[in-house]
Amino acid sequence: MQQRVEAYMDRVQQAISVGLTHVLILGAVNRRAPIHGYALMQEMTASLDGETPFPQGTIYPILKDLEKAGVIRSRWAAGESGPARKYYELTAAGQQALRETRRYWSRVRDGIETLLEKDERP
Amino acid sequence: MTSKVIEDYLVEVRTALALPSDEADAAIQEMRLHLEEDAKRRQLAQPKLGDTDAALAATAAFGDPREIANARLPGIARPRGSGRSNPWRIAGVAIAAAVLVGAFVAAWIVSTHLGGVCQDCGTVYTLDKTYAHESSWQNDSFSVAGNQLAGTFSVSLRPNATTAKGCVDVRLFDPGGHLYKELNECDAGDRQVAFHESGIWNVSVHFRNFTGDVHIEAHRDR
Repeated sequence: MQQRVEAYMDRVQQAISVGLTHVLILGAVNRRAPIHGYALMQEMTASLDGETPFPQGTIYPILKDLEKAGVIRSRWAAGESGPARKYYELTAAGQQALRETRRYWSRVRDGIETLLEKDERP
Repeated sequence: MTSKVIEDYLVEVRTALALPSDEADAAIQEMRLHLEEDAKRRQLAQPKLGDTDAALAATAAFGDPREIANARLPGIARPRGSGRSNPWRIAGVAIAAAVLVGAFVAAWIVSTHLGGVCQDCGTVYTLDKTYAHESSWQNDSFSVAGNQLAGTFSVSLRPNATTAKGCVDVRLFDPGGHLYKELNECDAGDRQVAFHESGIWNVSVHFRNFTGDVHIEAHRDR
C-alpha cells in the first residue's frame, strides 16, 4: 500500500514539475540573459538551495518549446573559454508573458498555500 | 574530447527525442557541451575522480533519456494549423498552460483515482457520450506509467443513421507530442490502436456535424 501511494505521489510531483520547470527557466533567463544551458541550470540550482526537482537534461526540450512559442530566442556565440555556446534571452513577447506569469503565479501560490495550511478547525 | 560514456548516452537521448535530423544535431551538440562542462567541473571539485566516473556522474544528473523526452509540455510543441494570433498572447497562454498542466494532470489523476474508474481493468481514459449535430473540438489527455507497457486505444462510433450523421476525426499524440495515429470516421465501426509508451498522451477529437454515440477508451493491458 505504501509503495502504491509513493508511486502515485511521484507521478503527481512529476506532473507539477513540468510546469514549474518552465517558470524557473523563464525566471533564470530573465535574470542572467544572455545565458547558456549549463549556466541556466546552475542558476536554477542555486535558487533552489542546490537541489533541482527535475533532471538537468529536461531543460533543453523545454527551451526548444519556449523558443518555438516565441517566448525566448537564442544564438550561438563564442564561449568565455572554449567552444561556441547557445545563449538564450527573453523576447519582448517573453517579457510580457513573464509579467503575466508573475501575476498568475502569485494567485496560484496564495491559493495553494491556503489549501495546504494545517487544518485549524476545532 | 567527449568520452565514450557521453557519446553513447547522447545516442540514447537522440533516439528518445525523435527530432528531425537537423534539429537533433543542434540539440545534441548543446547537450554535449553541457555534459562535458559538468564532467570537467566534477573533476575539478574531486581531483581523484576519473574521466569515466565523471562522465557517468554527469549523465546520471542529466537524467533518463525517456524522462528528458517526456519533459515537453503536451500539445504545445506539435505543429499547429494556419491560424494566426497575437504572439505575446500565445506566449502567455503557453506559460500559463505550463504552470497549469501539473495541476490539471494531478487533478485528473486524483479524479480518476477517487472517481471509481476501474484500476484493475486498466482503463486510463474514457469518452462516452451521445451527440447531436456536434461541431467542435475536444482535447483531453491521459497518463500511463510503468515499464513494459502495453495498451490499447479504441474508438467506437455509432452514428444515428436516420439523420445527417456527420463525421469524427480522432488524433492521438504520443508523450513526445508527435501525431501517433489519426482516425477519420464517418461510419459505424470499431478501431483499435496499440501503444507501448508511458507518459502523458493527448487526444484531440474533432466533431464535424456529428450525430450519434461515441465511445473512446484507452486501456492499459496487464
